[in-house]
Amino acid sequence: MIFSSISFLFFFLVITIAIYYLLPRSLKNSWLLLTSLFFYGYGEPVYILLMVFSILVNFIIGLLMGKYETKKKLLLILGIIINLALLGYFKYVGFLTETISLLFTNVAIKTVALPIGISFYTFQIMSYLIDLYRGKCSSQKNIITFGAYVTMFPQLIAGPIVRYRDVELQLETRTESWEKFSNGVRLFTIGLCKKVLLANTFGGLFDELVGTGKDAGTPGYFVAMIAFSLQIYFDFSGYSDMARGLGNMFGFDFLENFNYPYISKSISEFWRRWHMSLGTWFKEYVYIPLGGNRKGSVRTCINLFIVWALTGLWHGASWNFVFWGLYYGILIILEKLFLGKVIDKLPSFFSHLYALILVGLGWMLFQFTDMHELYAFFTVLFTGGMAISNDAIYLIFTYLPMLIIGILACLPIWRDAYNKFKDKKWMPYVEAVFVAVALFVCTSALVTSTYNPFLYFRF
Amino acid sequence: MKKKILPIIFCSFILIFCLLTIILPKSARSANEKRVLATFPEFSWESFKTGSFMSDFDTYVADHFAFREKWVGLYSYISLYTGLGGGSDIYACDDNYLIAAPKTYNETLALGNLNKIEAFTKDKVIPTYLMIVPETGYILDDKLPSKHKEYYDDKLFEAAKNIDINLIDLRPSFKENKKNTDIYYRTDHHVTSEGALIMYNEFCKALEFTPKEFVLDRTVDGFYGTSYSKSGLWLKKPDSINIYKCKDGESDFSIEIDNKSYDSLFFEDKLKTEDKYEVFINGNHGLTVIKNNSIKETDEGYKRHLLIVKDSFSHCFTTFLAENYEEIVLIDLRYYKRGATKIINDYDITETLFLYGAENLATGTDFGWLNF
Repeated sequence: MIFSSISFLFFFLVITIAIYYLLPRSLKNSWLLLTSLFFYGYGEPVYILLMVFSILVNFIIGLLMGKYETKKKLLLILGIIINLALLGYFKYVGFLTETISLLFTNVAIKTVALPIGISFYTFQIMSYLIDLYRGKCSSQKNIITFGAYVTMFPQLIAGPIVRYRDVELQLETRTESWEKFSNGVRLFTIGLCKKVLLANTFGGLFDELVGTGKDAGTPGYFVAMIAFSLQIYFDFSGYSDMARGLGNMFGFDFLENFNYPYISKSISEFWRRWHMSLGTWFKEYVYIPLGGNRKGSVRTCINLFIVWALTGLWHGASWNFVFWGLYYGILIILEKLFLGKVIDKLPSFFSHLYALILVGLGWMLFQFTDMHELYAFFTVLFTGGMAISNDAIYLIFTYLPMLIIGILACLPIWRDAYNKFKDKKWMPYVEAVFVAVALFVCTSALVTSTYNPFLYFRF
Repeated sequence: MKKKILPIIFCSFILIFCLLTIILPKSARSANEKRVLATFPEFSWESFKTGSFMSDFDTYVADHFAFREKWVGLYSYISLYTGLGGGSDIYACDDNYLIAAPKTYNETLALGNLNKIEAFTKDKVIPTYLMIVPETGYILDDKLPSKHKEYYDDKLFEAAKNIDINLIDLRPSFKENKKNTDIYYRTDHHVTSEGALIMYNEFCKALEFTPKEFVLDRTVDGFYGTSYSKSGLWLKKPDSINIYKCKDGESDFSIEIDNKSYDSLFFEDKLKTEDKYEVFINGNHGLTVIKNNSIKETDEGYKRHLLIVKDSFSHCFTTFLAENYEEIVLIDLRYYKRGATKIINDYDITETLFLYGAENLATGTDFGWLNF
């Protein structure tokens, strides 16, 4: 199930919220677990079994780790192996067999349907086991509470990656309130607008521009790159906003996942602002255990390489994601070595431009899983010439108002304005109008996407 | 109260539309989409296990969401005013025209279609004509938004000139008449009856027929066409369909469609349905045979039998031309898959006309059935 669907908004969410608030405290987590399992299994019901298996195994390992202090390390290793094996099988076996076939010898290419959210919840579970080992949290004795943590539908399929220790207390003793719910409505509505009104629109522009072919020239493909950068930001951050908003509605507080990444002045800064929960996870559970930057500059570089290759691979089982990760690894190492100091001295206009263009190029690496398509795109982008086809001009003009809205929506000016006026007497009414209008507009966009004229009689 | 306002708005919004969707009566068909809407999926362990129950439920909810078409209209207008144009691939143009955007021109496909037509004419002794109806946006370019995709009609006409066929070029007469005549419907992609009359006169000129005179018989209001349905711009006004009859009195016709006979070219009951354009010769069918029983030995059309290989752009046009011919046989290759050669022998055809809208000729994929 996805948040931006009619079934989710007008059926699943209605029932889930209504019953959640009717149930006594003692049953709220059970209800969350139940609805989350339903949410998870909605597309592929058989994977509910996989989920239940994951919960059971990790719950037991956690219990044992709490009980047998001396066997903790062994249990942790066992847990990590099981979780990575499941992730590896379901996400990477196709990629692996394909690569082996390509490089060495023909093996049967095996494809497995990817269980949604597996990358996210596997990382969440591992945060629990590792923190348990490190003594940063205590083992969960209640399987329902643990199950609710693992499956929690707001962040199940697209994050943020919530560390167990960040919500350990909330799982047991959170309180719901009008303030939290209001905040949830704010975040959810903003996220829904980002996804439905902005991301989908820019996705359309990107596809159409690339579809006009090489005649679009360098300017046409450059705008396509901008469109994709906007699409992926609004898509992903919109999803995170909705997740955090839903969390709020059920009394949870999840950490921020995006902090206006496109105002960054360097690549390192971009990654401190983009998908922050993933960055934190890799830093805490991979980079620092590898030695971080404490073992000399050579080891630091190697560590960074490992972390970024894994970050790339985490995003998808395909070589282009590995290259995409390494691309950032190299840029960040360069920035650490000398580039960072150079950029600091530049006028901020140029450092913004530097970061945005490199991020944009990175997104193309991310977008094209097919290397031929990627090559074709870059050929036009760099050598297409300044001539631009009429069809591309038409598209850019059509989307121009939305592009301007999109670019403005990447800036923190709205948050600043809100913070400035939020205590004013009229603010609640302005917000109310905004939320109501936004819900109407988003619903109309959602419904329209299902409007499907069967115009056979076009002839 | 103030701190409760957002939760109340949000929860009542989703709750109200949930309940309305459940309560409101469901329609089985969507007139604008010309399709049957989904029915509530049957639950079974199998359909649950495979997930098909859930995806069918999604479709069901999407098809029957409360005030569905109103939402589509709302979003179409939002898109229009944020610069994205109306609904999918429709330009909202000056003078209330809704004009279909051109599809991407696929030269290989277009030339392939023309070559198939040419191949068909090769071994035939009877003359063959080709009439291409230009796209609305190509002729009414002055109504289009200043930025639009390019129409490819000129490319197609140039290609058509290169094949061995008598091409009837409608471009000059359409361009000449567009100032004083509404050649195209505002909400539909077809030509109006006036546009069809121009086609009729051009055809008569090419074949050296004396054109008959036609007078407006009546006007039927409330016609919403394909562009309207696609656009979602529900506030646009409907078109009227004008029905013309021959000035000298209508001939006595018999029209045979899929083995059923009727005695009028105009199907009055279609004027009450969602697609009023079907009033002309009953809309799309594989094989339609029209006999004019009033043709006498002294008439030009005596013993003249015309085969029209066509799409729906021919329908209104045919109601005029039927006055001149003893017999007209229409085949639509999308539904008629038995080849055209046999028709020529079976019906003693004396000339063939290929009549297509430019886009259909360029993008159609059924021309292979011609030489079957």
